[in-house]
Amino acid sequence: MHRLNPLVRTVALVTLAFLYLPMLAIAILSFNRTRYGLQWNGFTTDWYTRLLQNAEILEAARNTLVLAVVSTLVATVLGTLLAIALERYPWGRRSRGWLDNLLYLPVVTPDIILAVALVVAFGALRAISTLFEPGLLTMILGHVTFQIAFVALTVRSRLKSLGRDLDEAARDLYADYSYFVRRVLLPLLAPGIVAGAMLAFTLSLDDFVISFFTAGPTSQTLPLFIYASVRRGVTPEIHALSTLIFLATVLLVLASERLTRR
Amino acid sequence: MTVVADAKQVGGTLSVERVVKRFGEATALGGVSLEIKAGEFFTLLGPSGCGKTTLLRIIAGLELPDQGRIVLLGKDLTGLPANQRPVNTVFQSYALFPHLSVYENIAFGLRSRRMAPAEVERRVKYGLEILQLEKFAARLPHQLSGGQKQRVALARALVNEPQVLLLDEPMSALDAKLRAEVQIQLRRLQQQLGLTFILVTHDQDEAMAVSDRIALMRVGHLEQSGTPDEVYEHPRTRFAAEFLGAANLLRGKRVPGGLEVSFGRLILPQTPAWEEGSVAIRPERVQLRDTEPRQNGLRVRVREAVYRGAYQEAWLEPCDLRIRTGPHPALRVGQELWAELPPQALVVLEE
Repeated sequence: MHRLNPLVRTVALVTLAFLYLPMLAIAILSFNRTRYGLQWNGFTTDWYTRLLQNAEILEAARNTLVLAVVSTLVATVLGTLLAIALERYPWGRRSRGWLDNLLYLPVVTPDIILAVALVVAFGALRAISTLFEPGLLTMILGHVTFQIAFVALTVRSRLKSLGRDLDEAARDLYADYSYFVRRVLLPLLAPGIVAGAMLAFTLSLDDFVISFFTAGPTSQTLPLFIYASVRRGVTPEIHALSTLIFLATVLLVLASERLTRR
Repeated sequence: MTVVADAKQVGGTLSVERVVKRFGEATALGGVSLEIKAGEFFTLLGPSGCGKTTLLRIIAGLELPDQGRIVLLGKDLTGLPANQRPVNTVFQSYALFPHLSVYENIAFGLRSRRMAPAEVERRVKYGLEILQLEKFAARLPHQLSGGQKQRVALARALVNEPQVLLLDEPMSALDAKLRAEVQIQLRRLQQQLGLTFILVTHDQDEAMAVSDRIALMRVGHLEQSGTPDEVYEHPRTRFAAEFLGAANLLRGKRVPGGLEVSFGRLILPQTPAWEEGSVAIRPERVQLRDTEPRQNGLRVRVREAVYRGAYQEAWLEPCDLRIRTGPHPALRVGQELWAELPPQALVVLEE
């Protein structure tokens, strides 16, 4: 076994600290009694209590949750269907390559580009229907567009690992397609689908850029609220709120990873 | 109480009629025709890439032929999807459903047809019983050994009472000892149930051990078919002679009454149709003598001798003749003696 140079270990630890210290600082400050400045003035959970009494924040939290839940549900259904179609339809080798690229593209496209494109698209659609006025619906559509690729990629990797033998075995055993889907495909894909959905949910929960460009006056979400408040000065309530959102995200990511590994 | 007892009556003749299958440029099957009788254990034997698995998949309905027909008991199955054919498959990978118990795996083909629960239970119990799987009914596939998985795959197919059971290299994942055991079980099961089995294998020993008839395939066509002893004793071509067991090939020119080879003249059982060609003789058919035999004798010297316990194998000079004989007396390298190639052991091959 190679002995690892102690320097490598030190660098790794410093890097991790660099990544997590800001979050840790905010978490600590969220329990600080001081309202302004960084001086430690004793432990309190007041900021969390106040957070839960702030109607504006609660409204934003509700919006964030509705947005995340609805967009995740839509994206999960569409992403799963997309993954199955991409993986199982007998595409030619050439078109399969192109489709793969099309699936990866949304993942690497900068959010801001997608956001601007959505603004333009919704602008054009408003000529047809008032449904596309900036608001919760446009936000949901916006979130769905970037979530789909993540769900599809997660589900597809699970599909790949299943192989096609089971499809053939089910057909050989008199199953029609819907019976196969209900009894074999969905149960076996479930971990991948849930993992993809959790990833999509997390992305929606944390999204700022797409939300910022597609939101309307009554559809403020938590990230948008934090952005607006920070411009007025960072308060301990924001620290508390950020800490809670961070915790929720960490829990979801851990759960998603556990499911993907299974 | 056997649920498949009446299979003897329903199992019928399967005809493969001039089936052609291409994958892009490659021709997997170039017009194969076969007639498989009811209750027969039929084996498609051949090296990898000969098209045997493709033919099996076409019979199963998992692949569509480009031309030709599959007819079972006078009924054309060619366009019928796999889930509507009275045919079941034991897959090479077994393809057990990993999230379902042994019991539910076996019940799958019955439940997918919405069979009455009591009938499902009766048939699954029967399947568990004939393959000695009762103890494992509640287990998941990953908790089973290779041999047990294979039995589940077999039970899962058999409880459907298929008119034809297809087996795609079902023993390739088992170790040699277990394989020999399973071959005997499979043969016994097939005779007990009176079902038509079609086995795909590249293992000639396996084919010989279990089959009523063997079809030897080579690059998309049928090379030769017949009972194991017909194919072994009377190979028609060089490929057939060499694929099924070991064979010595002797090349020569036809002369009146026999064949002119490098070391002399051989008397043949029949006059070949060609002017120049090959005859084959199995290693175990070559006789060793101390004195010159009356006909087809050859003075030889032992070049190499291998003791194999139950028999010994030797390579003789000249012409690298391979022989197989009893272990006693032991042959010594350099020993000189006579080899006799009895005319009835010589097989004239087609050119």
